[in-house]
Amino acid sequence: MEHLSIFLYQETQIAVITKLVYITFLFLILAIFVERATEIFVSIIKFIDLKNNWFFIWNRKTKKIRKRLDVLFAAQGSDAKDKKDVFSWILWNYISDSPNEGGKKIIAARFVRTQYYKIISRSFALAVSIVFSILMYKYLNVDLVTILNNIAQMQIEVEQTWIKILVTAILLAVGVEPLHQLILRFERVGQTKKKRLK
Amino acid sequence: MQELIPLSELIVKLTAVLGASFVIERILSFFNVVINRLFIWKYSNKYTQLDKLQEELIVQNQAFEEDKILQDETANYDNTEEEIPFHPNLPEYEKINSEFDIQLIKPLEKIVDDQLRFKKYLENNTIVKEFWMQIIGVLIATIVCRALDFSIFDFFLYDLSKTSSTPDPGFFGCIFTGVIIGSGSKPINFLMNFLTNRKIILETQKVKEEVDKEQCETIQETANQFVQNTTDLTINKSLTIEEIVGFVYDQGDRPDRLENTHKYTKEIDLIVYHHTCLRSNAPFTDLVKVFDDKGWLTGYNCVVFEDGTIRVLCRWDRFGNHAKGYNSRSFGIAFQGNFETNPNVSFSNPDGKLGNITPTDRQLKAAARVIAMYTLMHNIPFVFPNVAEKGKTVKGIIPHNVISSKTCPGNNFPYIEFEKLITHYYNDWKDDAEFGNALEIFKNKPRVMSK
Repeated sequence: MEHLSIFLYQETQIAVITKLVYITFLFLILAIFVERATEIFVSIIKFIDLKNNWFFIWNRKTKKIRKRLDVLFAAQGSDAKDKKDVFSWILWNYISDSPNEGGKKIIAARFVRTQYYKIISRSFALAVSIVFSILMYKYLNVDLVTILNNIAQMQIEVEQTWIKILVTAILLAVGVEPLHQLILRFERVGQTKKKRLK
Repeated sequence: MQELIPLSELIVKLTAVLGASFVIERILSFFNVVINRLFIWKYSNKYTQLDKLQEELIVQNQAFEEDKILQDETANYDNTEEEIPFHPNLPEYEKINSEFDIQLIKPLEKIVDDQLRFKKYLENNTIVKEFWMQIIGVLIATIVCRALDFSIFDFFLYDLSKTSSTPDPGFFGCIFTGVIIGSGSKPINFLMNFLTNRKIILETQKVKEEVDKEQCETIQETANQFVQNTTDLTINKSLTIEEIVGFVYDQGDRPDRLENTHKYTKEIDLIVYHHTCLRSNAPFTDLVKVFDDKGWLTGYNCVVFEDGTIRVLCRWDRFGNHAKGYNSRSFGIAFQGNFETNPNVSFSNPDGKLGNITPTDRQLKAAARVIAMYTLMHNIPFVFPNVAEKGKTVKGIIPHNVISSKTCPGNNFPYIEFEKLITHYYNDWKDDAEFGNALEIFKNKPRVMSK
């Protein structure tokens, strides 16, 4: 089979597009790896949470958050708007809509758990990105800065190794989130369709 | 020196990855179906036979504790005391006077409600299933990659500045590829679901439309026939209480739960009316949820909605949970809505953000009809006491605030108008023989009168 190959040094239009596709592909593959690894990690955490009955931890945290929010609530002015503003940015993630209109606002332990999972998964994604970048550099002598220099022939002059590793890790960690959102959207659409079907 | 980007290899490997993900997705889907069947089988065995007894025991214990507390409260009731929810097993955190409610995670064993338990069971199984699917997917993919010596990590190793051969990624590359293929099957699964379900939905909608059309025609025909029959015949059928008052006695929400508890031990001599504090257009299910969330078995005996609809919440041969210290000898009726307009009162409705700030005419009339009927049904003293005197038993028809420090049913509630309406219906019906007969028939219906 004859291989389709393009000479790098030729600065033709096709060559530029090819290079772009290749770099995007590499970046995407790495980001997918980190995103999927995080997903596996979260499912492991959820499993351990379930098997070890960690619900009491989230319940305890919920009670603590309620105490903190009550203090905040009391510290605000009497105007309902002030209070609303405070809750719109402080710990707003922990307050879900009241299950019945007119009732008290709800702090659900499930939401608290979700928020903690988010923090854990993001930290894990960053950690994996860093470890992955270090391993790649150490054993395979690969990092995104070098790849950009070699393939795209971008003259990025970075001497320090740790900066190269850090840049790789940050690029990966940043790229993971939009990718995750995209996959999540697919999943949600699939789930919605499934529910509608039922 | 000419160095190359192996585009063909890239495309081939990418396609191979996609194909492998697809194959693993199909394998896992098969596993999924098998596991689902097993879970449902396990659930149906576990919870419909052995645990049914345990569930009944839990409800009985809960009911017993409620009864016990109720007796204590009735004995030592202090009217000036701030009202707290009276559920005996209420944990400390619930007793805190907070601006927020909290919903805690309950383990499966502590959930009594069938539907909620099944939901929780499915949720737990989803977590377990997802875990194993991920692990199995990645393991299969990694083993296959290792066996075939297939890796897409090579693409990172094309160091174009060097002529030397690139290092072998080895097992690291296999794990990398395995993770991408194995866990990549999940998004593919959702993509597949999205595409297949879409097709099925369109087909289902088409069938449904046809069925609806047929049903509409049938219903129309039946209605026409009914109108024809009723105009032809002169039916002199006496009305039932439900038709006169305008409600359907469906025994309330989950009446079986109260079979062995909440029994009236005293004569009923009090009717307490409330507002629910919820949005005036909130549905019945929201109100049920409020009591469920509190961990109570039931709530008001009856609820009247803004359009005049009357719904039974707690069956009438059992007392509800609505007025601390008075439940065991009273009937509780609530208006859906929040009629407290004083902004200094917690959870008030000063600006009408929770809907009507005063009950609608239909609502008042419907509630007045129920109260008048209930007064006649149990011979409750027809009086409207304004205060509860210490040392004396309060009897008659009262708003909740007479026996509680709460403002319920709100400062904007038209008390006088409501009392006039009740009096109107009461006077109309008390000497009406037809009404009396209908009432006697209604009393004999199951779960209406306490024995």
